[in-house]
Amino acid sequence: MKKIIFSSILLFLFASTLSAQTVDEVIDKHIAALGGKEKLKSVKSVRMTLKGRAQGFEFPVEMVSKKNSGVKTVTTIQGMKMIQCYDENTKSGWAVNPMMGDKKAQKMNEEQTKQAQEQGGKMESDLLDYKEKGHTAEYLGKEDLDGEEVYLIKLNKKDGSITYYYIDVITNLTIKEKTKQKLKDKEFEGESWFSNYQTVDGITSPGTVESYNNGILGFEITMEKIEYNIEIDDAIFKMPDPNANNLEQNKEK
Amino acid sequence: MIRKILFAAFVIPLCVLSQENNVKLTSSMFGSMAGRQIGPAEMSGRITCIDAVNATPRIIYVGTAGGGVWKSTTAGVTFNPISDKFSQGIGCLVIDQKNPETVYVGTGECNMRNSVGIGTGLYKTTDGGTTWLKSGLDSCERISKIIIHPTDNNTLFAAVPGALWSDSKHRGLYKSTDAGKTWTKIFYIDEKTGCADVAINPKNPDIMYMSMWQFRRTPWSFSSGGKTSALYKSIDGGKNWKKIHNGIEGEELGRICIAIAPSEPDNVYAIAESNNTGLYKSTNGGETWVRKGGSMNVTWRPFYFSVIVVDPTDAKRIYRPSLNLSFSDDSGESFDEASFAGGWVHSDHHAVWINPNNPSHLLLGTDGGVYQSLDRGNSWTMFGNLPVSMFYHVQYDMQEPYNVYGGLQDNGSWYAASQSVGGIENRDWFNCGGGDGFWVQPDLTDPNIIYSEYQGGEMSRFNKKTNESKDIKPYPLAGEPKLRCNWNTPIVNSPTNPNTFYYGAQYLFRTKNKGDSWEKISPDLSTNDKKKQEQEKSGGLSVDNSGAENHCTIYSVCESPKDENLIWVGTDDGNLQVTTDGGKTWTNVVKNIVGLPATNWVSSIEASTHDKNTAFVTFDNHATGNFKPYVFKTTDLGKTWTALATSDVVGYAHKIKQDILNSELLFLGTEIGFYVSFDAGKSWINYRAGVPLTAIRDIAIHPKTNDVILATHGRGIIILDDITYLRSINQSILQKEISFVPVKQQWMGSISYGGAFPSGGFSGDNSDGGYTFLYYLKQRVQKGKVKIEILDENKNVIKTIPASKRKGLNKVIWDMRGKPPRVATGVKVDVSGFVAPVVAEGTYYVRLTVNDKVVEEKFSMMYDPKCPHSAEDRAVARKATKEIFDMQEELAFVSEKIRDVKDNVGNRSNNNEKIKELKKNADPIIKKIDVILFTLSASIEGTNITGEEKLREKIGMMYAQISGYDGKPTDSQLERIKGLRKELEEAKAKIEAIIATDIPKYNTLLTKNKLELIKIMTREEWDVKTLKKEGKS
Repeated sequence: MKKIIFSSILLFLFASTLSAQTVDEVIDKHIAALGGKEKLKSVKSVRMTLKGRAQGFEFPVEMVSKKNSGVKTVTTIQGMKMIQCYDENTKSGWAVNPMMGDKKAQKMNEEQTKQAQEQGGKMESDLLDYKEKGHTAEYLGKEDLDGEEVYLIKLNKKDGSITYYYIDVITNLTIKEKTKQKLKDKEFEGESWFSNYQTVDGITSPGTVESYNNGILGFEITMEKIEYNIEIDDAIFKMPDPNANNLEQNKEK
Repeated sequence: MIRKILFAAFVIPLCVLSQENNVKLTSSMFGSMAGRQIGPAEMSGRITCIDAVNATPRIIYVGTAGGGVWKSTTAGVTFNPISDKFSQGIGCLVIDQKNPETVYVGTGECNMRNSVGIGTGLYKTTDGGTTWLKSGLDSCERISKIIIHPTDNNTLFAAVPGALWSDSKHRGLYKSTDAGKTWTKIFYIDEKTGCADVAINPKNPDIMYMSMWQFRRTPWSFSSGGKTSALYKSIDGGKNWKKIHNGIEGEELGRICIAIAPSEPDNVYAIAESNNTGLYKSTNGGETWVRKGGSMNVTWRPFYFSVIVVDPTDAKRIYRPSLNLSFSDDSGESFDEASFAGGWVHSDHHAVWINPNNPSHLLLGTDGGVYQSLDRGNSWTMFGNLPVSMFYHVQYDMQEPYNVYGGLQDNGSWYAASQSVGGIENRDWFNCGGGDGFWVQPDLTDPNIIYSEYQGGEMSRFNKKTNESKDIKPYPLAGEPKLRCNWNTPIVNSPTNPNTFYYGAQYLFRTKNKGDSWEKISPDLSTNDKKKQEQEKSGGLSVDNSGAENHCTIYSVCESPKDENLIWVGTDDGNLQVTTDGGKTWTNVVKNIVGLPATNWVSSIEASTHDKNTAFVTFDNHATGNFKPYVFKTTDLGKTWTALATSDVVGYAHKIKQDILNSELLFLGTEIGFYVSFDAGKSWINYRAGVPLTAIRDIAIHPKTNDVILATHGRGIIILDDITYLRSINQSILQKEISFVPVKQQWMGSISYGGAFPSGGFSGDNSDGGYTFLYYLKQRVQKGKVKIEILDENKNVIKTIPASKRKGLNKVIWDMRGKPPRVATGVKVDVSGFVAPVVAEGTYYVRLTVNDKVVEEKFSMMYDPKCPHSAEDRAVARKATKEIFDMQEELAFVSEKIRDVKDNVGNRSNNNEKIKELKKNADPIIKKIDVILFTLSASIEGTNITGEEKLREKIGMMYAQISGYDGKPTDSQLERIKGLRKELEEAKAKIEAIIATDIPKYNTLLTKNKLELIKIMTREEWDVKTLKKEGKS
C-alpha cells in the first residue's frame, strides 16, 4: 500500500514537473526561433508595409506600431484611407472609415479598441515574458494540424481572452493561432494561419497571414517590407479633432 | 533458371523499394476537400441532454443522440458543433456552474432504444468546448448522468448504465475526487445491472440517491427490469447505500429516475418502472414514498423516457418530459399537458432545462430538436438551426440540381434539392412520408412520384403534384403466414429497370407496376428461428412491441447493375442469399465466409458495377456487443471471400460502396465515421474533412455529378462534391514536390446558386461556384511564397489568386473573372471597382509557383452547352461590357491626369508664395479644374445617402449591371452606353481645353521664373503607376 502511495506521489510530482517544464520549454524554443528574447525585446517600433489580397482585388496596408505609444493601421482602397488606431497614452481607439463618405475620426467602442490594441500586441509575441505580463500558459500536448505535428499552447491572458498557439515541432514557429475573446454579451473567435516566415534584422516573422473558410484560403496579407526601430512621432496616434476632416486623407503620398 | 533468379533478385528489391517510396495517403491530405452538410434542421434530431450557464443563460450546450455536442453563445440564435473529434452519441453533459467554461460530457446515449450508437467514455473541456481532454470511463459504453458535488467541484459522480447488448463489469456508480482525472467505481452489483440515475442533495451533499437498473437488448428483444433493479440512498456521500423502497410497488423494478426539489431537498420524486409503473413522492428524503397520480404520459415507455424535473423554486411544480411534456402544480397529484399554444412541438421528450433565475424560461429536448419557452411551457419556439437529423438511407434522382431523398429516425421521409439559391435552408426540405423514415426512393420515370416507408414495412407511393399518398405494401395471400418486416424494411429500386422495385419481408417481393401488384420471388430467406420472433413479449416489465425488435427479416437487397436476374439478399439473422435466375433458386453463401461471427445483420450489399461476379458485403454484429467492422468481398458470386476491414477502420460497418468508375476506390460507412480506400480495401483512411465522427448509415454516388452523398445518423446529409480528385490522386502525383491534379473541364455560364446566408436558421452550403483547381504539395510550405496565377493564351497573367500551403491537396476557386476596372477617385468607393469582367472563352493556363518551382496546366474556358444565351447574344454582352469597362478606366485616367495638373499648379504657387503672379494665375485654373472634377465623381462628403450620381457612378452602375449578366444587354442599356460615351467625350474635351489653353500660359510663367514646367501625365505613365501600385505584373 505504502508503495502504491509513494509511487503515485512520485508520478504526480513527475507529471507536474514534466508538464511545467514542457510548457516553458516549448515557449522558449519558440521565442528562440523568432530571434531570441533579447532581440525581440530590443524592438521598440515596427513599420510593416503589407498587401491584403482576396480573389479579385488587393489593397495596400501600412501598419506602424510603437511600444508604449500605440498602433495604427492605414488601409487604402480606391485612393481612400481607412484608419484604425489605438493610442496607448489615452488608452483609447479611434478610426476613420471614408468608404461611405465620412472622413471624420470616430471613437472606437470597448470591443473595437480591444481589437485594435490586440493588433498592436502582435508587434511583440504575447508569449514573450508571458508571466510578467500576467498571463498563464498551458501545454495541451501534441496535435496533428493538417498533417503537421504541432505543440498546442494555450495562453490565458490577463484580460480574460485566450490564444491557442499551434507551434510546428520542427521549426518551432507558429502555424496557426486561434483567439477567443469574451465581452459582456458576446464572445468571438478568430483564427489566423502563418507562413512564409522571413528573417529581417535577426527577427523572424510570418510573411503571410491567411484566413480560411471551409478549408479554402479566402484572404491573405503578405508582407512587402518590415522595418524595426524606426523613428515614429507619438502624435500620429493621437485622435484628430472629430469635428474636422482628417487631413491625412487629403495628403498626397 | 539463373536468369530467372537474377531477374527476380533485381525485380523484387525494386518492387520493395518502390513500395517503400510510396507516399502514404492520409486523412489530413484532404483537409481542403470538405464535405458540405446540407441539413435538414427543419425537424432536427433526437436531443438527449441540455444544460445552460445559470449566470449567462445565453450560453447553451445541447447533447444529441448522434450529432455530438452543440453550443450556442447567442441564446439559441446560432449553434456550433463543438465535439467533432469524439463519438457523437451523447449520454449526458453538465456545466460546472462555478467555473462555467468547464463542461463534462458523457458519451453513449442512454435512451436505450434499438437504434442508439455507442460512446467512448467521458470528455472534459475547461475552455468552453474549444479543446477537450479524455477524462476516463473509456470502457463504459454509455453514461447517463454526471453530477458535480455542490460544495466541492473536484468531486464528481457518474451514473453508468454501461453496455446495452452485453455483460460488462464497466457499469455502476463512479466517483472522482480530482475533477475527472481518475475514477473509482463506488457501487456495483453485477455485469447485467448498471446505474441509471444519481442525485445529490444540494443543501446536504452527504445525502444522495441512486437507481440501479437491470436491462439488456438482443438483436430481437429488449428487457427492462429484474431483481437487481433498485432505488438507493446514501447519507455519507456515497460510501454506503441502502435500498429505499418503502411505499414503492412492484416485486421487480425496471428503470427508475430521481429528482430532488432544489428548494426543499427532502422532497424527492421518482418514477419507478414495474408491472405497475408509477410516480412517487417522498417528503422525508426517500424514507417513505407515496404513489401519486399520473397520466399515461407519466408512465409511458419508462425505459425510453426516464426524466423528471422539479422547478428550482417551487417544490410542487414538476415537469415530466415523455411522449409529451406534462406538468403538475400539486406534487404530481394531477397533471396537465403543456398546451403548445405557440405551435406544434415534436413528441418524445428527453430533456428539460429550467432557468434557475427565471423558472418561466425552459428549454426542451425532443426527438425532433430543441424548443424554448418563456412562459413555463405554454408556448414554444423551435431552434431551427440544429442539423442533427438522423438518416438511415439516401437516394438521388437525375434532375438538375438533383434531389436527395431519405428517411429520418422519428421524423418521417424527406427530400431536398442538393443546391438552392442562397444555400440549402429548412424551406428547401419537403416531407413525403411520416413515422420513422428509412428508405425513400424517387420514381425514375415520373418525377412526381416518391416511394417511402415507415417502421415495420408500411410503404406508400406519394404524389408531389396531388399531395396524395397511397399505401402499396404487399400482403400475405390467403393462408400464408404473416409478413415479417424489419423496423428498417428495405425498399430498393432496380438499377437495370426503373419500373422494378424490391421489398423485403421474410420473402423478397418485386413489383413492376409501381407497387400496385407484387410478386413473391423467394421463399423465407431468413433462419425463421421462432425463438427470435416473440416480440409481443419484448420490453421486460413494460411490454414494448413497436416493431423495433422484429427479427428474422430481410435487411438488405441489391440487384446487380450487370444482370437483372442476379439479386443479393441479406437478413438480420445472418443469411446472405443470392439468386442468379431472378429468384427461382437461392443459395445461402454466408457459410463460405471465413472469420465472420454467427448471426450478423447483413447491413449492406454492393453488387459491383464493374464485374458481375464481384460483390461487397458489410456485416454488423453490434447487437451482441461486438463493435468490430466486418467487410468482405467476393469475385466469384460468393464462393470465396476476402476480408477488407483493416485495423484502420473503427466502428461496426453500415455500408460499403464501390466507386462507379474506379474499381479500386471504395467507400465505407461505420458507426464512427467515413472511410475511403484507394487500393481496393487493402488500406483505409478515415476521411474527416467536413465529415464528423458520426454514424455513416448509407453512401450513394451520383453518376452525373460524381458527388458522394452520405446519409448520417446525426448530421443529416453530407455531400462530397465531385470526387474526381479521389479517383485521380495517385503515386505519380504524390511523388512530386508540387503538382496539379489534372484540371477537369468546367463551364462558364452555369447556374450559380451563390453562397449560404444563415439568418438565424440553418443554411447548408452549395457546391463551389467558379472554376476549381486542385494542386498537391508534398510538404507544407512554411518558407517562401505560393501563388496561383491564371494566364491567357499568350501567357499574360490575368489574375493572381491567394493560394494555400497545406500538405496534401489544396483547392483554389477562380471566379472566372479578370481584374476589376481602375476607377476615378471620389469621396466614396464605387462598386464597379470591385467587379471584374468575366473572361472570354478560349485557352488558358493555370500556374502554381512555390518558391522556385513552377507547374502549369492548360485548360479551356467554354460556355455550358446548357447556357440559355446564344453565342451571338453573349458576344454582344462581352463587347458592351468591354466598352463600358474601358470607359471607366478612361475616365479614371483623365480624372487622374487633370487632378495631377491641379496638384502641380497648386504646388508651384504654394511653394513659391513670393511670386505673386503664380498664385494669381493658379487660382482660376484650380477653380476651373474643380468645377470639372465635381462632375466626374462623387464629391459630397458625409455619411448621408446622397444618391449622388456623377459620371463615374453612372458608368460604374452601367458596368456593374451588364457585366453580371451573360446574355444580351437591353436596348436601353446599349443606348445608355452611347449616351455615357458622349458625356465622357464632353468631359474629356473640357479637360483637354484646359490643358491646351490654360496650362501653356501657366508654363510660360513658370519658364519666366525658372521653375519646373507642368508636365501632362500620359496614359502610359498612368498605366505604369497604377498597374504597379496594384501589384499587377
